[in-house]
Amino acid sequence: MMLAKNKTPTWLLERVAQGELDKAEVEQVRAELAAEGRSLEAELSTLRESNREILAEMPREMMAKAIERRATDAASGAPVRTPLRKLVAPLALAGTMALAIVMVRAGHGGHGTVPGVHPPIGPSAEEEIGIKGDSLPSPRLLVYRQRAGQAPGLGTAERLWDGARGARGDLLQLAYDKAPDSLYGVLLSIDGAGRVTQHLPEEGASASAPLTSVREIRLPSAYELDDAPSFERFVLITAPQPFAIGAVLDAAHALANRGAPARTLPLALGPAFHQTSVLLNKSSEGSP
Amino acid sequence: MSFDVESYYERFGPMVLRRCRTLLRNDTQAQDAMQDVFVAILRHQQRLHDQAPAALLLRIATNLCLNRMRSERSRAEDPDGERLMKIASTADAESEGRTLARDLLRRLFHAGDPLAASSQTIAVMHLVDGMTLEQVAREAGMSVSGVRKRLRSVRARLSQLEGGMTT
Repeated sequence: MMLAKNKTPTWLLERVAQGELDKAEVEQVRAELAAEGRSLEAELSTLRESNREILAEMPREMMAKAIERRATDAASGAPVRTPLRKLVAPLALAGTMALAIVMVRAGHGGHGTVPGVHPPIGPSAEEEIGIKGDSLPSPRLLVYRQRAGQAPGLGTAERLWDGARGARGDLLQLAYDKAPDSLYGVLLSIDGAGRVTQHLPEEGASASAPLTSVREIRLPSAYELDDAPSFERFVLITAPQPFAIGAVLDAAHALANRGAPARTLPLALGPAFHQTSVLLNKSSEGSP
Repeated sequence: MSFDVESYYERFGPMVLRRCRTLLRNDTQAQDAMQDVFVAILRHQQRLHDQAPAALLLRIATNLCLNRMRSERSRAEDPDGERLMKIASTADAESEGRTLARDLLRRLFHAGDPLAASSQTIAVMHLVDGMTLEQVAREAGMSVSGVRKRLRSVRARLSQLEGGMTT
C-alpha cells in the first residue's frame, strides 16, 4: 500500500551532520548516497548553508526568548496552543467600526503624536481587506486616508486597500470592525526602515487590548509616520484570550529586520493568534 | 540534564525546523512546531541524557507535527501529505479503541509522551522517510521485532480507516 522512497533518509543525513553516527554508519550513508548519484559532502554542505540561512532569519537570542516565553506560557496555561477556530464567536454582522488615526509626517525621524481626528463613515460590510494567516473569523483592519486640507470627519476619507500607494504627509485613519465577542488584540505597524510602532494598546502596555464590536473604539492619540522608504504595513494581531505584548513585539521586530519579507509574511506567532494586515506601498512624493 | 536554550537552538533549531517544514509544508506552522519541540525539551529536561540529542529532537518533532496535523486536519496536497495524514489519523482510531489490550499497549508505549516514539512516528520513519526496519529500530531505540509489531498495528488501523472511508 505504501512504498518508501528509494532515497537516503534526510533524517540520517541530519544525524551524520550532528556527528551522531559512528564511522561505519556514516560510510553506509555515503555509499547509499553514491548509489543515488549524490555526495555526502555536498549534502552536508547544503545542510550547513540551510543552517546559516535559518539562523540569520531566526537568530538564537530571539528564538531562545520566544521558546522560554512559550514554555512559561504553557506552564501557566496561557493561550499558546489553542486553535482560534474553536473559541471565537461568530462574526457580528453589524459590528461598528472603531478607528485609530495615523498621520504620515514629512521630514520627521520617528513617530509622533498629534491630536485625534474624527473617523469617516465606514465602508460597506461586504468589502474585504487582505488577511494573512488562516481564514478564521476575525476583525477587519481598515485604513483610510484623510485628504490634506480637508476637514476630518466629513466623509472625505479615502479607503486604502491592501497594496495601495501612500506617501509621507498622508493622514491615515486605522479602523477595525467585525470583531467577534471576547477578542483581544494588538495593532502595530512595520515600516520599510525596519521600525515597529505599536498603535493599540498604547505603548508601554504589557497586555493586549480587549476589542469590541458593539461600540466605536478610537485611540486617544494619532500618529505621524516618518518618511521611511518602501512600505508601511499595519498588522492587527488577535486572540481569544488576553496575551502578552512582548512576544508579539519580538516577532514584529524579527520580521521587520528581515526587510522585504516584512511586506507580506505573517509574524511568527502560534496558531492561537490571527493576523490581519494592510500594506501600503510608499512613494517618495506626496499623495496626489 | 539541563541545557542552555540558545546553544541548543543554535545547534539543533535549523534541523528541527527542516523536519517540521517537511512534515507540515507550512512555514508558519513549522516555525511554531519547532518552538514546541524546544518547549517539550525544556519541560522534560530532567529526563534527558546527552546521547544522540538529534535523534531525540527529530522524534519529538515528528510526534508533535503528527499531533498538529491530526488536530488541524491539514489538507493533504500530495501523496506524501496524504500518507502523513492517514498515519496521523491512526492515532484517532487508537484513541477510540476500546479493548483493554490496546489501552495496555498504549501505556506500555508511552503514547502521548513527546519524548517517546509513537507508533505513528515509527510509521512515518519507515513509510515516509524511507528508513529500513533496522534503521527505525535504532532511531527509536527499539528492537526490529518491536518495530514490526508497531507497524502491523498502524497498518491495521490504516486499513480500518480506509475501510471506514469507503463504507
